[in-house]
Amino acid sequence: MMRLRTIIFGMLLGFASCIMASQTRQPGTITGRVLDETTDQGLEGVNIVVMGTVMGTASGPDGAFRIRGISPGNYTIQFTMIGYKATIDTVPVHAGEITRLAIALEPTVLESPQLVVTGEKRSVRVENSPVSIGTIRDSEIRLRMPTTINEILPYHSGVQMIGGQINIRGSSGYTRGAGSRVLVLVDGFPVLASDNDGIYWNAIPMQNIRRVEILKGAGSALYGSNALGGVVNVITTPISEQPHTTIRGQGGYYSVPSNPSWRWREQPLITGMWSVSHERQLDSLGVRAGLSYRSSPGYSQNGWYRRWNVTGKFHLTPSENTEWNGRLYLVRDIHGVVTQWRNAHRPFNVPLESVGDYLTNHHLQVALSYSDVVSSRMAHTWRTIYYRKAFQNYQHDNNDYSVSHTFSTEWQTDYQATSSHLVTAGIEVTGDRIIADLWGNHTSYDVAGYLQDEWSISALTRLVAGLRADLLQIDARPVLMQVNPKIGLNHNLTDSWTVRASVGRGFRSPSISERFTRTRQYIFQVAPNPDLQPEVSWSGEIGTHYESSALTLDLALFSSRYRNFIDPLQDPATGTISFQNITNANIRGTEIALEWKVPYLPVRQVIGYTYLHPRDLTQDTVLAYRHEHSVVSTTNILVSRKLLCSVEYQYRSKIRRVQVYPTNPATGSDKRVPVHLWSLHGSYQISNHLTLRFSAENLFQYYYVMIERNMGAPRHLQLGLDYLY
Amino acid sequence: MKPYIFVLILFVVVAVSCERGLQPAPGFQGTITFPSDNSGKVPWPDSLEGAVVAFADVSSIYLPSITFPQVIQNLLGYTDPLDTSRIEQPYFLQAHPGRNYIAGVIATTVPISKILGQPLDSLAIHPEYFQVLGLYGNPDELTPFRFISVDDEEITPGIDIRCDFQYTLDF
Repeated sequence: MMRLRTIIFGMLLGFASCIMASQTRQPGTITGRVLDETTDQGLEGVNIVVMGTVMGTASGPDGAFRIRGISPGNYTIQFTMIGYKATIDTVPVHAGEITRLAIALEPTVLESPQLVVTGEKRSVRVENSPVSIGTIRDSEIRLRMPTTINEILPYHSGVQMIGGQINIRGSSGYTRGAGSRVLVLVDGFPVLASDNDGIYWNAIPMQNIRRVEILKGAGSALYGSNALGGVVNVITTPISEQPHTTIRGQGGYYSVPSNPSWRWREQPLITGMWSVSHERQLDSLGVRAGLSYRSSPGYSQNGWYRRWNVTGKFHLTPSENTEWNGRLYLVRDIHGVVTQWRNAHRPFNVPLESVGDYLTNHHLQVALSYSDVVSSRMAHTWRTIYYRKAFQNYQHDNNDYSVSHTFSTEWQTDYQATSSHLVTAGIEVTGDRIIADLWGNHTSYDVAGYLQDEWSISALTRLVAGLRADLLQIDARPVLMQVNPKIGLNHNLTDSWTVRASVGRGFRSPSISERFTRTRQYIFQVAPNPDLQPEVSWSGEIGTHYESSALTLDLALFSSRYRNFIDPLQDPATGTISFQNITNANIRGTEIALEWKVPYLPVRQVIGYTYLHPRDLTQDTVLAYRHEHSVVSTTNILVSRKLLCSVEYQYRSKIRRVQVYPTNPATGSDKRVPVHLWSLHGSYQISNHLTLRFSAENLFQYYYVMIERNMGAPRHLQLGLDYLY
Repeated sequence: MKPYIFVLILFVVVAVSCERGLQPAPGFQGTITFPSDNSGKVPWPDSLEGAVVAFADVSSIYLPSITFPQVIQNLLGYTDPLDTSRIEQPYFLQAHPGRNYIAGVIATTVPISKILGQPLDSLAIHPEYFQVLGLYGNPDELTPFRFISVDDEEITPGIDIRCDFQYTLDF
């Protein structure tokens, strides 16, 4: 314990000396507005990068932007946005002066993403990234009117959601929420609850999302534990320069099955949501506050929820080259508990004894970041987050509770060492305190340092290499060390065609719940296993990306070798379940994503296909809870200037193996089927301020199970109104 | 194409394509009744850990000489554990049509989680794990059980089973 505390103290001393090293400078400022060339409307979310430096920003809702603290000189500024042609401008910056720009971006036919930050902790054009990164933009999110962010993730190729757990390229199966192999960030801050390392999708803000980035493959070389199979980064919009209010409301209902025995309730299953958000600038301080409420009776018995969210964000620029950003997020969530169906005759009812089971969740996230552009070649960023999560079960067989506190702080320095080397280095300290009857009281620490070099070998070739070392300790147990390197190469064969290759190591430290849970769930007794070891992986990928004016194609071949996979295992002698390091696994596959515009028609289509070959090497069988073939397709039809329709289709091949209730051929029970889901979404712009939205998820009311004895959602029809002024 | 024709086509496509995938399963259902004491509670014995409704396919057994071990060896499946605190509760078992089944309530002397997930034939070698609490049938009839048949895509109702902690098998 003393050793770790000494390391933490040394790191804090290092932070302080870095801050002291900042010098007085006479910088200039670039400010301006980015417009749509055809409509002259301000464009929100344009990525603006000062080339050859560590500086950049994004435009606000009215297209306005400002970059402070730029050393005098001539600079090339790059403006990129999904759906617009990238534009470059060269501008002079003078000491103490403001350079003003007015930029008009030309719309393009395709809307492939252009800049991402998750792969390297800084903005990189997606085609220059050595790893696969997908994005979901804000307009796609709003069009689908999701309740939580996990509802839209499966529309992206390579991503599956199984029982609420995210599975990127087959990395995860289903473990009732314990121990995610995907790390989830909001604006770069981790938001995994420390007690079970699970993702609470309802604790991720749905308002003011700019885009979602999905890093596919091991990300532990930058992000540490849990980024074993990938990273999801939810990026929120910057605060507008102008006062801006958003009011959203939506209502809908779930269709009931035509078979009377499948109906669990006679009353209509009405869902609803409203949200209000306001933001404005007060001199150098930008603030945003929001409130939202969602409720649903659920599509199955006990599937109800009521959820209140309070959000806040601020942006403060005390000087030309420093800025503070803060975020507050409060969630109160009460929902029923669905473990499994009553039986195949009553698949939307829960077992009689479970009727009325529910739990309460409270989440509080307070995040603060400070960035200091020391010079055009060096910038420091300090981030810190406090995350408190508390839940209390009110179930027929247990009243378990857990309160977890996570405090994480990180220092990151970006340094343009030479014209061809950009070095990113950082240290991160995380402390967790857990108080629970379910898994006991525990304390854990993670101290990590990382280093990454982006080497522009030539104008066409980029090499990214990095390394992260983590020291982990739980209670007074021995300190564990994990070192995770990565290396990636990206080469532009032509202006429109790139190839990439990468390899990296990932790891996941067992969660507190996997080590220490002692409870009874349903009929199963769960026992602790404090000696669990981390699971590790080596992941590699080769890929190519082609982009023309009418077509974008991305192809990736990937392979991951996992060791010490953690899975729940039942002791045949006692029937007790505990988590064990039982499996070595190999997951190989292919992912193809194609985006094209149908000639002569206002129709754009995105199709993704993912093939997985997930093998359990220990038992020489297929890994449980993976769809081997997945197809996702989105067809956007611009019916008129005001009406946009989107038809979406998801196909998932039948899950070949499950862990608890395999199909019984003698009775036909626990049958599984492939998944075919069609959805229809649309938006109609009534005026500049008012937009009508409609959505039909599972349009054809297809019945399926992904995890045993849990029916998928039937048709969900929604209508919504957005009012922005 | 006129908009209303497009809407009409869409409506027809949706109407004829709906509700595919998993379908309601054939089988049988009924009510389980446990005995109750004077206070209206189930006097559940400490020696028993839980109970399920199990059923066996007896289509291929020569019925005049049927034995209980034969029934156990032909077990097809069972329900999730019954709620031992309820006097009455419904159940459902999925079964293929065109066969003859018998069903009964079987209690276990070991934790029920130890039984679930085990191959059915492996359970037959541990008769000490089980205690029969009741079979579907009429006590006044000559045979201790009555056959259950399932029609195509139908659910046979009324397969009620009354349990008794002192039940004795006589076959």
